[in-house]
Amino acid sequence: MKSAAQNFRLSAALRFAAATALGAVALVSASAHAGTVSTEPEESTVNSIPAPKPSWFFVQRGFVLPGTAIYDSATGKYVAQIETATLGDLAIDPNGKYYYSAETHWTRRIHGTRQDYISVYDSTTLKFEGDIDIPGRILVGGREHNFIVSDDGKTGYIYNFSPVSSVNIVDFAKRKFVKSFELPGCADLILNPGVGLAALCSDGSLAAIDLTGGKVDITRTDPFFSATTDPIFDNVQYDKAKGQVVMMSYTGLVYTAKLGAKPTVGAPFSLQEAAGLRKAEAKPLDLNWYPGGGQPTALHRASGHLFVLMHAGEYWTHKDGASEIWDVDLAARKVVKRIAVEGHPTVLNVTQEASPKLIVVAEGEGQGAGSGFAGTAQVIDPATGEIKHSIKDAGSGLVQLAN
Amino acid sequence: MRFAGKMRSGVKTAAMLGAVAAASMLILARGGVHAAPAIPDPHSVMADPDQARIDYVENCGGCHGVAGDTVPAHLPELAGRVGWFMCTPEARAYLIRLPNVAHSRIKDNAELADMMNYVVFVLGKGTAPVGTAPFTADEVARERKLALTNKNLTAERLRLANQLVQQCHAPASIRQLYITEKPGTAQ
Repeated sequence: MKSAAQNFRLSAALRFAAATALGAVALVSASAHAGTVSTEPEESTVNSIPAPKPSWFFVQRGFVLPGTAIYDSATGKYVAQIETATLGDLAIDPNGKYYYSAETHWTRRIHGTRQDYISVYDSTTLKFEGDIDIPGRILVGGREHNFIVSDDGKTGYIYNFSPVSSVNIVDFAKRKFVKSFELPGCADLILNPGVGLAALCSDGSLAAIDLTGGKVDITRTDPFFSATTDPIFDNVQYDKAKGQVVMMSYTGLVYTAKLGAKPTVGAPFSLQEAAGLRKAEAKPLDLNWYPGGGQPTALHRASGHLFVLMHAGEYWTHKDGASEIWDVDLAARKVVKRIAVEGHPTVLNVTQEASPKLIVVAEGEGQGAGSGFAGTAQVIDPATGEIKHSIKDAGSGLVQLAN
Repeated sequence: MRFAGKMRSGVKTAAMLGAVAAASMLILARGGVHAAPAIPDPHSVMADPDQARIDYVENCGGCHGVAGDTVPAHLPELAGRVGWFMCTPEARAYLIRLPNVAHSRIKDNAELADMMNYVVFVLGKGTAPVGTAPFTADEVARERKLALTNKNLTAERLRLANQLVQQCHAPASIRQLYITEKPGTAQ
């Protein structure tokens, strides 16, 4: 048993160290291993991670910051980072084996020879496996439909605009560029099972792109929206099981199109009317609730619930962050819940689990929307509105999911 | 009005050189020498030159460059070249039928005509044949309904460029996206 004096001396000698938990551990450690100091060099190891889980979400660090961080919405913990480039596009292999990063670099930073390619990373080791050269891609990051992968994981489609609106097709099994085809006046690539692709067009139509034959055949629906007065947000929601795509216009019209060789677009409904409010108008100074953000909608496919970032404001405030998330039952055409959110998030996604989690990202206060600084990601339970996890400096770009 | 002032002083030079413009083009066709700029008075081809330039910068300048100069980016260089496309009716219509022009957010046809006149006469820097009539609202209204959405634009541009070389003695480099582009890389 130590005397009070001994205790005092110990405390005095180590008062700084003992003040911290670390110091306390060091003290115990030192006495336990006294005289047996190891000289063995420390072995460095690299952990592997599982194939992507339904609870994981992938956050682009920012418009100007490279990298895509993986977090687990179940724990709120950081998992790993994929080395995507500034203005790059990430696509996730639906079979969970690879991450693909579409990037552009010049041999001399911002001049020299331009190089466009897809880097392939193993999903468990994140080890770089090689590049697939492509003839070009649009230099716009943070969009979901510029780089998409077929449902079987075998084919990649990369939107290109250099200088004609076009699409590059890549064979992931052979890791080779296959061909490109022109898509004049259309963008925003959507998978179209059994046909090839679909895309939104500047004349207000939806294009069906038949890739089953040798010649690419592009047909269009009749125009159903105005790309000038009430455009459709690019983050349209593809639902393979239902063979449809759900689209949101700037004023909050919700359109559903049945995909196929000849897509059909149903009559839209007003998000505001679905909430018992007056329909929004496409005219200046019309005050109402509007959808807004860089990624304002997310569909929980199994339940048919569409989640939308909403803010009170004027017409043409489609980039503004949200003060509420609206939960829309698509079948009933009703807004069944309005969840208050903080920080004016501009990015939204929802996990496809039986009990889904909403992921929102709000850029840092005072830095301005779209500033590219990493902001706070929140994991929200849509059933209760409860914030399950809040992650600082998570990112500011797109939130993607593995399924 | 600094811009308009600048333009006017440019126009004086152009007017002085205008008389030799036709001869210069002949030299251009034979010897590859650049034509002397023959830019018409902006007010004779645009109702509102300032608005036309603003519309160009806002709607086109992001990719085509605020001065129409983007070399060596892989897109059509406008500066000192685009006016050649006014030489045949088909090539002239092509400029309005390009999807990004035809489907422009500028719905007012007179305003879009002004913007395209800024492109061909100001950015084109005298490459439009002398005496070329400016785009009108009626012409824009008619042609923008015929957007080139079902054609290979690369092939169509090359077909028209060949037409300009053969019929109008445009320089062979009009086939390329920009003059110094390595032959064969033009799409």
